[in-house]
Amino acid sequence: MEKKGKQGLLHQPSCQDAIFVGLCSVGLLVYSLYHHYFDRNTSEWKMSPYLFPTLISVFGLLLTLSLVADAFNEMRHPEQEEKSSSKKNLIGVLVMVAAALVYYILMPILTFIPATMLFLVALFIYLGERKWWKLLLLSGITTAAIYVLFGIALNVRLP
Amino acid sequence: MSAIIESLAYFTDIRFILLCGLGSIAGLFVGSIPGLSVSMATALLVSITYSWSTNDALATVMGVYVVGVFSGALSAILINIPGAPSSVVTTLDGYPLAKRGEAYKALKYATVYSFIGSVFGLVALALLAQPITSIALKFQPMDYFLLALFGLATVGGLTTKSFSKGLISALFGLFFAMIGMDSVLGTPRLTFGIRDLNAGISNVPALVGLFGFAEVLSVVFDGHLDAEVNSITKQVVKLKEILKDFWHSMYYSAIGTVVGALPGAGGPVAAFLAYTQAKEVVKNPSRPFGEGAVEGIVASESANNACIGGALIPMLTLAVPGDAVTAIILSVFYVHGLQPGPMFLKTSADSFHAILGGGFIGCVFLLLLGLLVAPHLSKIIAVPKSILMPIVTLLCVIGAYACNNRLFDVGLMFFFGVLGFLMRCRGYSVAPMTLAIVLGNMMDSNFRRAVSLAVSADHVLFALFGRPITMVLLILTVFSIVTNIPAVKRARSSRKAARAASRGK
Repeated sequence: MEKKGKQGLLHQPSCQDAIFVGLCSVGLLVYSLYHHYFDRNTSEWKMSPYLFPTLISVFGLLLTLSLVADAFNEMRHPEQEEKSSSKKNLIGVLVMVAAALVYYILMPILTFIPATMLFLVALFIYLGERKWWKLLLLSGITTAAIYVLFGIALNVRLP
Repeated sequence: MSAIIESLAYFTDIRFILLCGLGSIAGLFVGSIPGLSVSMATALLVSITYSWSTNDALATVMGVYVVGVFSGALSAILINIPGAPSSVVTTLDGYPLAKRGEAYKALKYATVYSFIGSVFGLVALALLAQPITSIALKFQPMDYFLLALFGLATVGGLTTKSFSKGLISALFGLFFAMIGMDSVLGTPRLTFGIRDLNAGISNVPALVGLFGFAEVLSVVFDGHLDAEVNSITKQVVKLKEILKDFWHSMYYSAIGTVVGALPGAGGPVAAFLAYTQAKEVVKNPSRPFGEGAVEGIVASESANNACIGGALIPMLTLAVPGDAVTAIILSVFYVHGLQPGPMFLKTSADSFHAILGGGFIGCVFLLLLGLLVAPHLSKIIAVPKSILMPIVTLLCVIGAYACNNRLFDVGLMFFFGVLGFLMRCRGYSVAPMTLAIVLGNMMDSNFRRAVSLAVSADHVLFALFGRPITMVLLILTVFSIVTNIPAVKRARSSRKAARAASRGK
């Protein structure tokens, strides 16, 4: 029975968040203390660059406890949990992030205009646009407009 | 009063008016299209206006801000999706009115009362900035620290259901603000050996990521890429009939200005409060509230637009932004070398007048665009997001890159975009993080300055918290934190319920 209770707690979103925040806070605390005591440049605590990060990590640990309390509360009142019935497109999000990363890598290699055209065409196709003339027109006009506005009018050195 | 007169001089500056008009048009489109937000547009503007003169940048930003807040009402009325969070309440009566074929009337009411609310807020800003500045001049480092902490605590409490989550969002924001060269000793801090982080995390890619790219990911995640729009048929609505609610709107605008000046509360809270008041104040609404009462639109729109002036008061006089948009505007100020705070009115009086001037001109554009252009916007609001989202992503990339001409900033923007998206999925608001990123360095340096001054005094605690202003701020901060603790909240609500039950008996 106890095992079931523990499993239930770990399955609460607040408990999972508490573990993450707790680990981050401990990490920051250790990092700040290490650098305060072992860096050659650090002075006494009152002017130490690690005073404020240490304070943040301590607050983080307190908030971890608060999240654990929230998790217990969620366990006691499971009806408060909001359940979304609509179908979510997680693959779409992953594709967007992957496309953005590929664009980020390709931009310095292909330069701005070809990389941007490719990026836009890929996204328009993925999001449902099928007419080839529309794809070319939209990506061409958008790339040209951005190039004129930023590259020429605002003197931004595009890659 | 002289500030208002000085600001009216900008009505003769053609360049200023044109740029403000350009910003207003951008604000109209950005605010009315669900999925694009005023915060996102302002964040992108930071990079676009980087090389502009300060006045040009302020004119554009104020145009976007004033008209952008109003235009959230357009999609709220036409498609029942608020273009901005502050227009949520407008959907309650605006959409039912549009469903009855009276969308034109609803838009006219929204326009006129947004104008009235905006002007009210800006006049309040002009009149109250000086008295607040004279108080702010007495602030010491600890006061600034506590004021920022109070801001973060209230934002944390008001923007998410869970107070802990709000504070955690702020805490992560503070962590990101600490990355880079330490402002006091000049040594790298929390850079983890990454050389590009030595310069710190620039506000622009962080804000563009948190508001722009995160929004794109959320729209794709939700999968609603198209919207149904109500048609608009022109109808005669007399100005006399519209202005029937003028005096009520003054009351709602006052609520909006006060709520706007509180850190974190902002438009949605103001609109909701004003709507609740309207239900009590208006005895005979044109229709029952929630079924198309124009009085509901009056309350919501005058209050959320009055927030603009209110939110600018603490931002300009104390350098503590009232909401996410003013936090981004604060970074526009820093980019242009302006230092908001107690000395702002003295050292940068011209910029203060430019802000007021831009605001008032923005109000005129609001009226013109709202009456003449907004009724024809229904087709643009219906632009499929499948076309809009790739373009917005591209704008986010270029906006992040343009600020420092660094590809690393684009990477940062993607990081913050994914982070913002994950935070939304887990029920964390990005607003406290935004405020913390902008305020973090100020908090850190003031806190250390206060501590180093106090340790040399005889009574450390008295030196830290002994002054009247500090005590008031400390009490406010502690009160804001304690009243938001879930256990205290539960105890208060159960006590309220018990009291209501005993009254019922």
